[in-house]
Amino acid sequence: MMVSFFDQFASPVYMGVPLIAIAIALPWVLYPTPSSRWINNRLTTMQGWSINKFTNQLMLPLNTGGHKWALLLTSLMIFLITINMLGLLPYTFTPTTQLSLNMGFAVPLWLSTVIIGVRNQPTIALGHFLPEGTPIPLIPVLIIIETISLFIRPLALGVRLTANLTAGHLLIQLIATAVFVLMPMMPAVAILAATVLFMLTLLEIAVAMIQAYVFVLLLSLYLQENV
Amino acid sequence: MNYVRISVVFYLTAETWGGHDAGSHQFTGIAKYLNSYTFTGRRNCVLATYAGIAVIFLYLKLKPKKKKAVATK
Repeated sequence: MMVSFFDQFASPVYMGVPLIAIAIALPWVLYPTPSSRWINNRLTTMQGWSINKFTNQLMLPLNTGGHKWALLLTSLMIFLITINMLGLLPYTFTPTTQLSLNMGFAVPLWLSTVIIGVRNQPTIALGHFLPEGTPIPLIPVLIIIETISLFIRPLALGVRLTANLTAGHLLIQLIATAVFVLMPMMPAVAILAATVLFMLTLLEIAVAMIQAYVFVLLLSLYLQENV
Repeated sequence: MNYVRISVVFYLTAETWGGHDAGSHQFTGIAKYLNSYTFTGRRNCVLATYAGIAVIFLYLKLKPKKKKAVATK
């Protein structure tokens, strides 16, 4: 059997059962449900505090109509950040390396912001295609550019997350393989590669959190324009 | 003094919060409908551009093709 570096991105299937369903459902098991008690334990209290803080920060630029999206955006953020972080464990599968999953999030959510804008405030939604204060000769060009950029948004959202996670995992596997291969032959170089691997892992932890945040932040910005 | 204060506050409020078509009264002629400062003007510019692109596309699609004269053998 030929083993390639891309086998880690193959959607796992066991006896005909797609295991990606378990990979997607697992993050929810890790978070305790807040109880009806007045004072919860430390973990639940910290969880509630951090979720409230994040939601408050995300909803600051949005008006009251946008606050309806608080639950959706916060749960999406928790989902993505948990999946990304779990994917950094060895021998785990990362669902967010699948373009289909990320496009499945990006396209409907982006489209719903556009539909909300066109339905509730069509003049302002159309007005966003032309930046304020554009010189007259540039108006047609900029309108075309802005229209193209509107339709590229969902593509960029999905591909950004996919590419960042895929590239990071691939790099980790490449450098880890290099360390294993070099260890018996050139231990000094292997230790250097291991140092690089350690720093790359730290970077990937940051990327996992940042990319989840960027995804949700951009969606909130698109919502801000249209709500 | 209070009149001046109120009008300054109103002006600042309208300009800062982008009150609907704030300042549209200063445009005259075609600039009242097609400008890049008010939301209505920007919307009309966008619609005009889309209409122009549609017209050009329809013209190129529907224009009669010139038949080349067939050379006699």
